[in-house]
Amino acid sequence: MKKCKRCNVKVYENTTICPLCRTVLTDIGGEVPGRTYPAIEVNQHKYNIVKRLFVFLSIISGLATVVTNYVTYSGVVWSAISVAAIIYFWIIMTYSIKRNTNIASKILVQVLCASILTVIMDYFIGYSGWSVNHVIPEIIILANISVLILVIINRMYWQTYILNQIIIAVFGLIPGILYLCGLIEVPLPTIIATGTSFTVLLGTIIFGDKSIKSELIRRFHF
Amino acid sequence: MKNKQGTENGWRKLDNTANVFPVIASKTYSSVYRISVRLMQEISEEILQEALNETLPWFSSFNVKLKRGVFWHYFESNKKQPVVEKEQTYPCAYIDPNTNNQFLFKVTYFDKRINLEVFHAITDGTGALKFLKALTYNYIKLTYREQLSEEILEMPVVDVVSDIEDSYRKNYRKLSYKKVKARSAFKLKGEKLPILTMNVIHGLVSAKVMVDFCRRYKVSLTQYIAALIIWCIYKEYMNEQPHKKPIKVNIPVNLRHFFNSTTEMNFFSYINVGITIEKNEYTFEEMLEITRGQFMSQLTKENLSHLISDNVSTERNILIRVAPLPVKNMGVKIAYMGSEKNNSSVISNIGKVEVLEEFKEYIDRFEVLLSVSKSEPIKCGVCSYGDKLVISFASILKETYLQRAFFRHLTEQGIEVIIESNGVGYEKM
Repeated sequence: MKKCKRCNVKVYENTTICPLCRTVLTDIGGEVPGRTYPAIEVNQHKYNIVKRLFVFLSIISGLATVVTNYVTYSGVVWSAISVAAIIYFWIIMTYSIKRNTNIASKILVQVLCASILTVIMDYFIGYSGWSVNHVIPEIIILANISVLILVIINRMYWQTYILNQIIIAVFGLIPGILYLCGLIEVPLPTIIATGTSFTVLLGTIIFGDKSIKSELIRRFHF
Repeated sequence: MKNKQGTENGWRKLDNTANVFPVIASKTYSSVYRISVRLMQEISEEILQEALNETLPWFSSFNVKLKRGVFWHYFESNKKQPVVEKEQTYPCAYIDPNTNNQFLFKVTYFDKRINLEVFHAITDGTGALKFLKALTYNYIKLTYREQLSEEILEMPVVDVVSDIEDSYRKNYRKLSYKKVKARSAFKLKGEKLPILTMNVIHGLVSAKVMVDFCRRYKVSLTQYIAALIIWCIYKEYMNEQPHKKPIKVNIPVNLRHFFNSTTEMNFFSYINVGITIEKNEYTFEEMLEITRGQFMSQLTKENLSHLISDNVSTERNILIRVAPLPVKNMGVKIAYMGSEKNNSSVISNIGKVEVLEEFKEYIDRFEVLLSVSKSEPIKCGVCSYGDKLVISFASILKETYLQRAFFRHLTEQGIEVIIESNGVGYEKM
């Protein structure tokens, strides 16, 4: 045990300095305790060099493409595609790598972002409709199948995927609506995509029964 | 076990105050508090893990993960197992709801101490203490299995099992009363420690000496500590001059006694003691008298009912209920930023900790630590066990003016104080 003659307190700690006033302590005998708190050496604020490097490169390359595009402009705003791609990259990096987030919601985010990206690409290189005709329906088919596989593998936790599954399936009905509006020129992929989405939706409603209801209740309680 | 319960996750709403914490919590203000118990012998990780595994099923309040709904956050039962770790960060560090196996509490240990760190959304100090006590009983039972009698080993570790009523809603009465707008408080300023570093100073005093001492002034322990903290702020940070902003300390109040509840969820409110320094000379006795008066007027069932009514009616407001979660979050953040201005400091006294007679000899003492933030840089946690009263200061300020003045005042009154710290005060100079 030690004593601080300024504060007049006893200090039961393995130190020679008073924690209150930094006066040098006087030893008054008795046992000297070991550490009661860990020595924290790790710098909590980690300097993440990889992340900083990627931020730096993203900004530089984004600006470089815009400038190059502007200087050598020949009727195509191709830099919009690279900027969109960089943004897409960051969404994927920050969201999809996160641990412990629902895999189905990662798929959902992918579906939405990838769809938007393809539309942007299609639009800026002179809209020819390949995004809505081919790519988006294929993304939807793939997403529906992935979530279905997830559900089959992880039956016990089906209800955690239900909401995402429903959103993907509803999203999958959009190409069908576009087709009915006459905006789709190549009907086959769209028909398959909308078909699988509809099947998944119907299956979820019929087989989900109580688990859907309970999932919707907890998600929407107010 | 493949029954209905096994396949369907249980869920429940957050209690009334809990709704705030998931929104405001961040690395720099974690809304995590720590209650620790110090035992007589060094802690064994394996036994602590086993004790935790045995304790958790008794507490559905702790066995949860936080989920986002469209309108509100909610808890879903967590099927994973929490993992005991050796203490390796500063106390009350932020608990990211996506890490830590999605549990909203942590059990760590160091030397002879078991720490329970709890995110305030799941429960308040009373709920956490109940959990820590059960955990400690289980730990002691497992450690001293050979020496303890059959009767003690069979003893239940909790009295009321999984009481998860929202006592705010239960005790809600629609009341109308005149609301007083809170004045913004004087703030403690000073150079900060490196980010995420916390200076912890515990002062150990004899509970008996301290209570007898307070009795002389006819005040309670919390009143004395509150007045002393105001006094120290006046002396050390205000330089004993008049100031237009009042010194205000916020004191959480356990509502269970007032409303006869045994809930394991949050059930607390606050009172605010404030003194505006208007003249040049104040004596400590004067401040003590003002503090005592404010306690008496605020600590009534009527006043506390008003606070509950206020909180619950906000939550029940139909416009607020139908606002999507991101909109609500924004509202909560703005409201919180406003309320943050109202306190200079916080004092939380969880009171006298009582444990089962049979386990007393294995337990040395309990301690409480609160998380601090830029706007409330020093907070004080108080608790007593047997004759050991521990007054703990958590701070992110480099200088220890408040703590020093506080403990020096006690020693000047002839009260013996033993100081223990986490070393930040002299290591991070």
